[in-house]
Amino acid sequence: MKPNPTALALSLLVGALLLNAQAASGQANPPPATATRPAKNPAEQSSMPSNAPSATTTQTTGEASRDPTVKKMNEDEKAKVETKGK
Amino acid sequence: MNILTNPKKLRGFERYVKVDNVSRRSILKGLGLAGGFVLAAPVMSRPSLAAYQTGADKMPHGTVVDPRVFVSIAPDGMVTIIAHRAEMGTGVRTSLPMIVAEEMEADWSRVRVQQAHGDEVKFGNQDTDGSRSTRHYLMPMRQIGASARTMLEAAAAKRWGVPATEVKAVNHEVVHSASGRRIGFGDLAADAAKESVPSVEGLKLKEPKDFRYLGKGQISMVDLRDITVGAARYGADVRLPGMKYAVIARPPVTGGKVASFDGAEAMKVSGVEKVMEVKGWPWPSKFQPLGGVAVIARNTGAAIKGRDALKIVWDDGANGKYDSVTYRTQLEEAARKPGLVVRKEGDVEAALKGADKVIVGEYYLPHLAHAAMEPPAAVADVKGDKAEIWGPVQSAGGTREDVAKTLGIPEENVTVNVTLLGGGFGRKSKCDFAIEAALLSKELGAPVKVQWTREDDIRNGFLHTVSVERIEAGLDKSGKVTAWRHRSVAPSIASTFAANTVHQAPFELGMGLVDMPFEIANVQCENPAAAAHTRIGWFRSVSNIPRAFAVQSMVAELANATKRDPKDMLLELIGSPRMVKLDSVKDLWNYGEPYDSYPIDTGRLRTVVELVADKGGWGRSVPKGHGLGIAAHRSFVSYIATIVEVAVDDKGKLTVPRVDTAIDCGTYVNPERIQSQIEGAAIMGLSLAKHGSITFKDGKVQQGNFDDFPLLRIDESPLVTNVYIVPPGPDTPPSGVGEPGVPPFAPALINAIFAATGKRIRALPIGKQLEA
Repeated sequence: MKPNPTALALSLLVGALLLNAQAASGQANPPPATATRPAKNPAEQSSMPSNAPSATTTQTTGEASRDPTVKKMNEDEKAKVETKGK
Repeated sequence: MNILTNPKKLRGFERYVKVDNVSRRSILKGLGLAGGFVLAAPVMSRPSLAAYQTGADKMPHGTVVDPRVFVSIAPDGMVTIIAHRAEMGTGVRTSLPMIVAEEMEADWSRVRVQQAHGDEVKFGNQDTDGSRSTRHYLMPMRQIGASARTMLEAAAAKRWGVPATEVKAVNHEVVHSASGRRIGFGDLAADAAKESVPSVEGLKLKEPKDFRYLGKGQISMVDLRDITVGAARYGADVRLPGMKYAVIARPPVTGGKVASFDGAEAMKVSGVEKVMEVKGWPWPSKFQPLGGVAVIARNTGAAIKGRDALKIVWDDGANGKYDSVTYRTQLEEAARKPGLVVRKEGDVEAALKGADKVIVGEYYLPHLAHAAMEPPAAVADVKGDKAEIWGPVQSAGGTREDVAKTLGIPEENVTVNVTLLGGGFGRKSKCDFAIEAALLSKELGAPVKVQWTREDDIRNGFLHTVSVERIEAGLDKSGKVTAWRHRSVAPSIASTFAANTVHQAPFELGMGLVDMPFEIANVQCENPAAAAHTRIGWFRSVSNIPRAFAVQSMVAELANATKRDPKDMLLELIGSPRMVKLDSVKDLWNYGEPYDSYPIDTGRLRTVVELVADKGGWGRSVPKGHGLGIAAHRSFVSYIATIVEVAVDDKGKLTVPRVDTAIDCGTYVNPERIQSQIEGAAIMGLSLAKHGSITFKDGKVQQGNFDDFPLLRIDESPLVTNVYIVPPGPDTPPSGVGEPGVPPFAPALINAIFAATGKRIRALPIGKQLEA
């Protein structure tokens, strides 16, 4: 099939416009934080100085929960995965 | 050999079926009359009777084989089949109903699918994970369909006064050939419902040669149209009258908590109605929420803006100094010392000392985030001692159970409506987001939607573990491998629910470590200690990813060291066709399946290697800068081999012109879906290998969105992915498909890069390593 020169020209023109638009957006500053793109690190959040020991391969953080419901959930899950794995 | 390479769809056969959550009320409403095939009989759990045994009946609540639970027929003939598993793109809520339709001789164009709510007593186990749905439900679904067919045939025979043996269901009708009479399913529905459910033992299943749908690849996903045109409803799409919208600022360090907060500025944001601290559970606490500060608003956007305005001081707790750089060094040090021995054959120490040559490889894989396209979201409406949940949950039954326990109400008072999942990958097996919504709804006395942002998903999820895999292989003078020591060091998933966990659980060790199938005289597998400092969770393919990366990279390294062809080296290591015996492994975990039905069969592993080598043109000449890599792995009791062709230009830019994968997943249902899963696995495998890395500093995840945790873009994706499915033997049980495609991809890729460039990459992601 013979290409239609007008359609081809229009297609190239549209391509050029798209490329220009992309180039322009690429030069712009990164968009500010918005509702759908929150700030990378919330400015108003901080942590207290930590007294925690260095995290190592051998030092576990232990059992902190005393909630009997959660303890039971943990035990049930452990028993469950021993049978079904996942 | 009949190899399926490109299943063709029958044009015009695709159907568009609206998938809704099912309730008994909606079925009856749809029927219009009570004359359909719906019974109020008590439901009994009946184990399936398969020619092969699976682990299905050991799952919580096992299987339910009862047509009265899964099938209804309206007087107009429309058949409704319940899908009790969750749809996250695998096509499971098409495939399982299709099996029922096949056996009951229903015309798929007159079938609609309804999504079950969470009720494992009624439907059997609903955990949609572990690549188990077809594996566990092929036979039960066939039995359900055959039961319904038998009941329809019995009803027709009674009406005509002929023996049941003289009638036969054919394509939505029951036919009496001798008299030429025929009657549609709709006309028989009321009578069929009065028939007793036949015993599983007496059922006559269809011969595979008579299948119209199973194994054909001609049925599109029932969700396909809705997904394509944007009509599909995900968790975030659920809206209830009077619903509040919430986002939560969660502790940035696992195990941390709120020290103090000031919500005054947040309350000034238009639309924000309330700021409140929400309960968290100290570590370890299974899938319970992390707690934090919730912002309640009239819409999600306002809630997010309000959260940005919160002033919070966190107490980071015991994991406040988790640092990925330091921790990697510790993992490497641990891998260089003896660890807990979890498999031992022969004397590996002596064999390594006596070897002519020892090759050592140390491989690193960082934490990974699931990063499904749809971040978690759930809606809850708690009224008194009743709760209703809507959400994209992989485990509807587990969600129901955990919400009930957390609220302190009976499980039967909780209704879980399963929406379509925009990807799951294991993340949505954990229902913390649904519990958050339930707790807030209870507190506020109104329906609440909790929406996670992308940043929440990446920073507060359940990450794939971080690992160092160290393999030492001893070779004799002839180049034969005589010793294999594999040390695997990685925090365990069990740490999320078992305190003081430092070793991997059997279900993790059984994923590519102790089940290594090579025919080597001296083998030792060790698991040095590795404590967790963040929440570790199941991730598509789980521990198979780092293990296959290490083992299959080492195969290619051994081939290079002995100047062998990598495919030949792989086949030599796999050895003779045999069923591998692993007597030295305590608590061998075989994906929950009985070993008799699903042994480690090296013959099947060899077959996929030979098949992909043949079809993928192993050894073909490739242009300069290109290379071929091969890898094979058994996981989720399926066998997969992959060849990747790469091209690396002189600036280190990596492209993947072609991928070939052969899979033996036993008896299969829908080859079109298998092809899709393998194509998806290639994209995910390449994405993770090129870019995937979650790192920690001061206990906090350093990434937050796709700018710093990129996913593969379309211009990076493999240009061609060919899939070859090994036809099953007559009695080959079905095995997993959703996950097994991922593990062999990275090592095949890395081996191809080595073939193309001579650079051996041992730490993922590839990142900029090729640019050096």
